Amino acid sequence: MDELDRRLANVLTKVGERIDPATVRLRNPATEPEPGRRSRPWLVAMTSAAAVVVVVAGLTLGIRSNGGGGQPAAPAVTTQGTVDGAHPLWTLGVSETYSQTFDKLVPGGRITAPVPRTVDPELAPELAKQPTLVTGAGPVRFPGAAAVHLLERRDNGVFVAVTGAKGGDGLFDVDFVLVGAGNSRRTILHAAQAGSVAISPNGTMLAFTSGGAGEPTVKLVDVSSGRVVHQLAGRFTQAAWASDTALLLSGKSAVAWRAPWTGGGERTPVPMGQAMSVPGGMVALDDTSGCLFKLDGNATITMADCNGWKLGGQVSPDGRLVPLEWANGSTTQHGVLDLDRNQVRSWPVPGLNPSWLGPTEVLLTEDTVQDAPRTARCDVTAGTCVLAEDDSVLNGADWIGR
Amino acid sequence: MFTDFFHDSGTQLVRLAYLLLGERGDAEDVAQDVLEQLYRRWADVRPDTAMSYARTAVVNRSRSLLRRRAVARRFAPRLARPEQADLVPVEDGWLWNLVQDLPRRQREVVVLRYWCDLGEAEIARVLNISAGTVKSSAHRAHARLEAALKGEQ
Repeated sequence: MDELDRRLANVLTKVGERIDPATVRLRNPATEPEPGRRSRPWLVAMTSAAAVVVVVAGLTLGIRSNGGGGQPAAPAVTTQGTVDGAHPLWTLGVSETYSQTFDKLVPGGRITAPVPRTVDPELAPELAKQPTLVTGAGPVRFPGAAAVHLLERRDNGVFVAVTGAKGGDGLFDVDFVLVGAGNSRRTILHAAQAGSVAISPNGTMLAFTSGGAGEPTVKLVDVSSGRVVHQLAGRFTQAAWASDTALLLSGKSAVAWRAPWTGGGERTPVPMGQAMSVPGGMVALDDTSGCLFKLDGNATITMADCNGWKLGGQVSPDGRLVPLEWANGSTTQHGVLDLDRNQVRSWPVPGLNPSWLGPTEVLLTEDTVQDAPRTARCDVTAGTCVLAEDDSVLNGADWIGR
Repeated sequence: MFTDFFHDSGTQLVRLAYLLLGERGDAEDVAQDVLEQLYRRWADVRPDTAMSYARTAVVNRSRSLLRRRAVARRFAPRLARPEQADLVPVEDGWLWNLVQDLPRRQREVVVLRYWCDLGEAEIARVLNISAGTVKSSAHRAHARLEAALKGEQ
């Protein structure tokens, strides 16, 4: 071994030892199943492919209605910008999905935030000097900030989290800022530390988990006034919104808050691990029990079906199709639930986290650790998939469960 | 038992990902994803090959992450790699930085050879390349680092 070999082995060993086993945060999937991912004990239940969605019409579990309207809610998907700028504020800038693991600072919380970037190479060098958000009205600079995290785009502007000197890879010393038309900016609220962040589809409410030295607290903020209208001990992992209702889930329970956002919120009597906004309401799932719930715009449960369901990815762009997976004997079946039909169609190829190519078209990638997994382009309406490797057409199951 | 593997190898997988990625948060995420995948396939994995399987998966996932990161960095230099020089003794910090700046394959070969202590054949299996490519990549990396070492002296 020559001098370089010795020094290389030495430096790599030292760098590797920077990872202290005592501080490594890994979850043992055998003993701590992640919400939303299947776990081994779950591979027991179902006996046939005739997995049926049973509609329990009118099933309500004590959550009263406040008569709110049926404002269509946007699906809770990650903001995805387009180069041509579908949003008036984003004719120059686009956003790119990029995982930011804020749970490094707030255990249990995790959000995916897109990173602002520009497609204009002339502007790129400026980004190196100071955090810059590029909108259709030009660049918005944040001198002195450690980073700017793009949270969401809404009709009233772009929501960003501006982190201060403590920066790091999470939201410390954070200003929630709304960048509106003409690049006007308004600081909504300052927080010493923030975890999960969610913004209502209409941009009027913001929810986040406030950490810091004390116990975590969920705060619900009125965007227009910057006032914390409600807070609750604990944290949330997901939020779904419909009309004037916010449904915040902590993994074991859900609390629904309604305009005018007073009171202690109403806890749902059933566990919900995940939820998403869909047209006319919300859909929630509990991975532990495998139950699927449909909720109306007032967070009232209108349908419950327990059939070992797991969420199989993001909802379709229009929020009408929900990817699911479920056990079928010893295998795992993947498919999609049509919320309008209350029916499920299973795919002929396995694939988690489908990428939506259109309202009813989806790209499935085989669930594998290998470098070249099979991919298939599937049409939900026709129930067919075309394998990319040889263009062969595979037929999925007919709609089931009516 | 998967739990035994988890306890024995979890940190090693994080360290491997860290050496390939240079960012601890990403490294933990990669290792976690690999452990999830491995757990789901545990019935099909022979215990004596589990580490090799996991190592391959870590390399593949790190590679994917680096690709995504490269795209993001092209437009957002603020995401530039965090400075690591202060994490190791000064006389070695520059060498670690050089390793990080090696082309992706050369870096993988260096990490697998000098940290995992793997032979050429095993490295070839992990990276899914020929032994000849391993040899040439190692040679190029070595030459590049040696030149830098001489420059330092």
